[in-house]
Amino acid sequence: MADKDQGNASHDYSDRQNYIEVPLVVVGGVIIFALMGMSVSDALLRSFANKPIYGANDYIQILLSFSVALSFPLCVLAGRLIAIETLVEKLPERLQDGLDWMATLVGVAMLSYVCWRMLINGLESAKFAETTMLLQLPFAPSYYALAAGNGLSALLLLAVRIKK
Amino acid sequence: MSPEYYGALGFAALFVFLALGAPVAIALLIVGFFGTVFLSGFQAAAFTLSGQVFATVSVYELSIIPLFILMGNMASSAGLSRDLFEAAYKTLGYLRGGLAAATIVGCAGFAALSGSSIASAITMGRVAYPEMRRYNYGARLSTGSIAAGGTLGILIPPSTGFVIYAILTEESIGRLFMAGILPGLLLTTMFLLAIAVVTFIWPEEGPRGPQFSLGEKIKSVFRATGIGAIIVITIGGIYTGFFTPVEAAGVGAAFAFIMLIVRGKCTVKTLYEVCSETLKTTGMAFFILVGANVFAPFIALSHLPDAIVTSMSGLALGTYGTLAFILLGYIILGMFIEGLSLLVITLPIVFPLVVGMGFDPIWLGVVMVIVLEMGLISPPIGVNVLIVKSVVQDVKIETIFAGIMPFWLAMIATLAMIVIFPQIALLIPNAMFN
Repeated sequence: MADKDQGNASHDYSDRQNYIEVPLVVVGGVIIFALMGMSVSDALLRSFANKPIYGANDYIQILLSFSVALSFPLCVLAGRLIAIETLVEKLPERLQDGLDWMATLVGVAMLSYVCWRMLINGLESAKFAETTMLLQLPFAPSYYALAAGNGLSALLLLAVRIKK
Repeated sequence: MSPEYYGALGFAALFVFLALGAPVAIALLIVGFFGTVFLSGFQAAAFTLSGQVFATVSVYELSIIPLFILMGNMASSAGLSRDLFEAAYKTLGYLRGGLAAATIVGCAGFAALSGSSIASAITMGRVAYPEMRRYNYGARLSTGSIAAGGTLGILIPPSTGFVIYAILTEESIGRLFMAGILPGLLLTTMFLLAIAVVTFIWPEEGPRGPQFSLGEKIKSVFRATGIGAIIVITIGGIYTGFFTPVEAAGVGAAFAFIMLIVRGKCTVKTLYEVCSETLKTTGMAFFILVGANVFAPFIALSHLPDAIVTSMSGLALGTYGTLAFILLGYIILGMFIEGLSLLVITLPIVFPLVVGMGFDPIWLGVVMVIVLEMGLISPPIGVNVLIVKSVVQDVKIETIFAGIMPFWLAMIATLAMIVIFPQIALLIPNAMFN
């Protein structure tokens, strides 16, 4: 019975993880492919037709910021944040657990603060109409995307630790 | 307290955080942010933090990272890495130690598609190890060649290590990529030489494989032309100035995508996996970069690099003595700290110091990447060794480390040659720009 409950809990967690991961991968994948398409089209049009895409760098800048914003929570969800565990692994398990919690909470606090700063900067960027050089594409949405990416990363960092 | 003292304290705090298992990116962010708070006040630190985070993720040049990662993942899914190993296997496999040599050649080729050592080790490990076991290769040579071959991933362009070095030091990505070509080929040759020596002393480590007909050899080489085409397009495009590095990454990724379609492997599942892997690896690289870009201004504000330059010159070690001291430090630190993290942590100090001694910054990039490669296969951590262990579960980790030794010595010899003859690294970039 307990095993069954545990199995269900694990299945639920996996489902919840998929609900978060799949949309992020799908949207992020579209953006990465758009990045590729923009870069290739610009290079080929410039090289063979002498007609580069006007403001291609601006589009790439914006696409990159969105793709990175989406990649942060995916990286956290996959446990890909690089850490050096050589010393910690030699410590007693309870101490390891305590340190892991501490590192998680510090990480959550830092990412939450970055999220807050990105939000503030986004509002200021919108207020002062901060844009890219050529196409005058607004930077504010990129700031908001980064705020969302860092905020979600903070939540996922906590969720992944609780699940451990 | 002087700013230098805050800088030194910041480094100490960073190492404490890292030793306690905090993620490297988070540790860099925290120390960089609070260090700037102590030196310039909260308001300035808040502006630095947000400015640096946004500046890092919206730099046009950095779009090269997701694009090259995408290219490597698609090439791998299209089976291009297997083709390369097959071609090397059929042409070199009949020699003594030929399968291990084929693994090294395969890794070198795959390195030209993927900027990651870990990706190279995993991909080649899965393809090459079963073959080497089938032909009774010794566990030491077979695993050692996979782990060492994988390290070529961050030396042969495109390389994530070079991109990060270029961004943090404001050097040209294109020049660094070009500078990696000859040292990459030299290291590949030295690895092949190491295999020849090992199999000469212990022939049972690498028995001869099967002999294939000329027709089969030509067919396998022809099938590997897909990977060759991508290498020619990307590296050749950058060298001739036809493409910028970012465009070359985009074109390479598009070509790999076409290969995926042509080979009938472009399913929804494959595309999902490629995108998922690309985004996760991109996130990992950018987290580190963001952390490094918040940490670096704090170190610059503290004037710690200047203080270290002054005290190092007081040691009277001489230019090469100081360089040897630094490289030795890297080799030792590389045994415990993951390569990319070590690079971003130490560059704010080491770069001004070494360049101030008159060394070429492009050459320094190559030397640092080779030293970091050594860290990838050095005990007790050796990330690539752990990766090979995860692919090859029936071999003890001590055996893999023993198998690494000849390759490690080959790396030392390569490093010495590049230090003595800097032109090995600088010939192509200088020719390209002159």
